[in-house]
This record gives sequence, C-alpha cells and structure tokens, in this order.
Amino acid sequence: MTKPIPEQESEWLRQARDGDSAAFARLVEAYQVPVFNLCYRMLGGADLAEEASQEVFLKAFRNLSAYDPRRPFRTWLLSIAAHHAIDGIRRRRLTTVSLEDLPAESVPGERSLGPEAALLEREKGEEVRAMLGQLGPRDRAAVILRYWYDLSYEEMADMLQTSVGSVKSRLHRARRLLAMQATPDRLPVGGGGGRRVDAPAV
Amino acid sequence: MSTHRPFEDWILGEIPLSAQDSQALRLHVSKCVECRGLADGWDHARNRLTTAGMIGPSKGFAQRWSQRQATRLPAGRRGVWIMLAFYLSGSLIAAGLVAGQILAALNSPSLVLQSWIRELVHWSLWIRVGGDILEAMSRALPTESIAALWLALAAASSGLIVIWAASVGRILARGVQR
Repeated sequence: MTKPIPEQESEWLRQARDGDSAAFARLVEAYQVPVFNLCYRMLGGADLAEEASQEVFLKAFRNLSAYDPRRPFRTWLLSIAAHHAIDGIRRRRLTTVSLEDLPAESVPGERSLGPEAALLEREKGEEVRAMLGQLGPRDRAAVILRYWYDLSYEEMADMLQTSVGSVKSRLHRARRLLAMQATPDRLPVGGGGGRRVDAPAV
Repeated sequence: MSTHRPFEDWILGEIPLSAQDSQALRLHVSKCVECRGLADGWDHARNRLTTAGMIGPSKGFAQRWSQRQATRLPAGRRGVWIMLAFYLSGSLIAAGLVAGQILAALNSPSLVLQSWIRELVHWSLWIRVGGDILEAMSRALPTESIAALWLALAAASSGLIVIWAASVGRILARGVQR
C-alpha cells in the first residue's frame, strides 16, 4: 500500500482514537513495511520482526490517546518500534548472542527474485545483518534510522529520546566500527542492489 | 589516532568538504594506509547500508494484526472486570463493617465506646508482651549477634530500597517512551 494522503491519515487516526480498529488496520496496512523493516534490521530475523511489529502496532493502538497529532504519525510509530526492538534485544541478550549466530532464514519477498539474484540478495542481506549485529542496540537503531529512513539528526534525537550530539557520536562510533570490520576482499564489484520491497518507506 | 585527525572525521562524518579539504584528504589517504583502509571500509559498509532496501512482512500482515487485536481486547477487558469486581467486593465489605459500627454507635454510644476502649487495652497489652519478649531475647543474645542482626536488617532495607528505586525507574522510563 502507498503512503496515505494526510487528510486520509488524519481521518483514520480520528476514527481509531474513537476505538475503530478497522480504521487503525488501514494504518497498519500503510505503515507495515517501515515498521517491519525497522524491527527486522534491529532483531535480525523475520519471525522476531513479525512478532515485534505486531506488538508495536498493538501498543500504538492502545496508546493512541498519547499521540500528539502535531507530530508526524510515522515518526511516533517508528519511535515505538525502535524502543520496542531495543527492549527486545536487551531482554533476549541478542547483543551477546550475535545476530551472526542466528540461523539464516528466508526473507519475505525473496521468492519473487530469480535464483542468482536471490542468492546475491541473500548474501548481501546476511552481510548487512552481520554488520548491524556488531553494534549495540542504540547505535544499531541510530544507523538504521539514518540509512533506511533518511531522518535528520533532530528527528532521530527526538525518537531516541537523546540529544543531537549523542546521535552524532553514536553514528560516528558505529561508522568507525563498520568501516574497521569491512575488509578489502569484501569490497563491492558493482555496487548495486535493488530494493526488496516495491512499496515505499512511507 | 590523533595524527589521523581531522581526516578520520572527514571520512566518517558525511559532511560536504571544501575543495581545499577534499584535496588534503585525498593527499593524506594516498599516503596513510590506516586512513585508506578506513575510507575503503566505510565506502563498502555505506554501499551495503544504502542499497539494502526495505523489507516488508509476508502478505496478510494487517489481517493478522486485526485477529491478534480482536483476541487481545477481550482478555484486557476481562482483566478490567476482575479488578473492578475485586475492588467493589472489598469496598462493600468495608462499608458493611463501618455501617455496623455506625448503627451500633447510634443505638448505644456508651457500649460502643466501652468496646473500643476494651479493644485498645487488649492490643496495647499484646504489643507490651511482644516488646518484653524481644527485650528478653536481645539480652540473651551476645553483642556480636545483635550487631550482625542490625547489619542484616540494614542490608535487607537497602536491598528493598534499591529494588523499589529500580522498579520506579523502569515504570517512569516506560512512561516516557510512550
């Protein structure tokens, strides 16, 4: 589903605030990809991401009265998702049990690719998963919000409930670690790689 | 790593550089193996991050959410009803006891006053007996044991305070997140 127009979104939000779960289900449909992607990148597995993103939408629906309509709904939702995933990592100690140690699993959308392209995508996906797995939960969240959602430092600071300076230092530390871990023999040949999901990030 | 500054910051900072700074960075990277490794590594990592794309859930995600939401809601409501019944029954019992006392006081105030005084004396006697027992025990115990007992009590109190503070902190943190 494509990004809802602001009037449509406001109407769905108003109805959902009045307890209309069908209206909120439309918002779930509209924002499922960005929320799922954030959970997937944070937790490193499709099953974990499915469970977490379902819970994120339930939490958002339950706490809709706390949502400030002056803020973008997407930012509010992603903030809940980021905190939920950070809590999940801490609970499951996924930082000590590295994401690299998790079994590889098929990713939704992989079947639509040809065998060679799917293999390449899988390899790249595994590499990204391993890269993110080296980072602590909050640094990981900062990297994901920066490179998948193209958020400003101010938006990221607001979402992660920290200062802009802290976000910048987290990103710098994460970039340094990622750069140090990337070895020359793994340098890209073509540098391509299409988007897995046609739906926009909303 | 201080000799690599500001080049390391320029490589990782993702900030637009002036022509002069770009030239200085190129010159440094061509000579410095560490910074060249860092620049190549970051180029590779950034390429992977920026080309990874969005991953969405399998089909029917919103339907699965609706089903989950429908099953969660009655459970939540049931919890609210149980709590309400609990509080209501407790309030009714308390109201009944208070009402009995008020009725008795209206019928015969002196009798009620006498029974209250009797109860008060009764409980004060028990407290006194308890105090005497504790005093006798403390005399029987050696001084070291009393000190150890105080230490244990202090440690237990501190532990409870820490647990309480941690719980309050967690609740506040969750509140802020929402």
